[in-house]
Amino acid sequence: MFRQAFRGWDGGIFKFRITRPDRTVDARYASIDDCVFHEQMLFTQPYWLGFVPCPFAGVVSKDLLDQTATVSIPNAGVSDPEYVMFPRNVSGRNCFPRPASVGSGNSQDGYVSEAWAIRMVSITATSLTLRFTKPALSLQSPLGCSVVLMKRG
Amino acid sequence: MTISAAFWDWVGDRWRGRWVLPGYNARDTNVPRNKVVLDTDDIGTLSKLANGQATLSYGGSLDTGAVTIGTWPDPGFVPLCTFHFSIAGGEWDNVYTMQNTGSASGNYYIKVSRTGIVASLKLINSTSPVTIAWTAFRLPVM
Repeated sequence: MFRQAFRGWDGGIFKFRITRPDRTVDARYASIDDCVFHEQMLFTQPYWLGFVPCPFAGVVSKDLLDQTATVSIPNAGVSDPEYVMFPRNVSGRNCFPRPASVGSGNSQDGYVSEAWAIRMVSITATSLTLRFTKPALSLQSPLGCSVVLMKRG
Repeated sequence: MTISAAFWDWVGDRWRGRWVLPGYNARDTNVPRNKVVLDTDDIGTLSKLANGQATLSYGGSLDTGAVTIGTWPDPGFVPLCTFHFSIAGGEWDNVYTMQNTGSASGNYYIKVSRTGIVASLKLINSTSPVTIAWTAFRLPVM
């Protein structure tokens, strides 16, 4: 008879597992994919939800703008955290994966539209650098970027 | 009735663990979901299934054709995936913009199945490979 649930010390690991009802493996030795719950699932939970302000937020010029912003992140002991970027537009709205808008204007004065981009430059255990670019003649800038970090496991 | 903050027990035909906030009863099926700390019947965790990177380079045509960029053992569902794109080793973007280089072909996609990811893209030019960093999560989308 195999166990459908197991919790306790086993070989130096504290196991906390419940197997899927359709599996016939012993919970003590079950892989993560045989489980509805497995202690390793907790490892990759999001550990930071932060906001990186755009260095030129609020700027409405028609110039090309290209700047980076670096923020500190909590050190979770991983050198390459998993990250998800949610760009926040001029209205404060999440516009994942990127903005797309049309606006009135002309080639002399520019257009009231969002054509900017946010890219991830580098990430370490303790810092995150994003690059914000706005093309010439686009008159709107993002507020910044919300970022979720997870350990990869 | 005795209030249990948590239980770890047989429920019907299967094992279940449930843990609720103070003031609520773990045995009460009507506890609001935002008062449940952990329920193995409703995990609510976002754990990583697999992740990797693949680079699509010029091979005589700007159209890459269908390329398998990741595989994993079938978890029984199509998992949620996230992607980041880097052109020629540059910064990482949420999207990959394919410029129109005159090709008549327009059948470009990234498809996720229960066991992997297949991509078919157009490169910006012959000297700009695209690297796709992907992560699959244990969250069924299909």
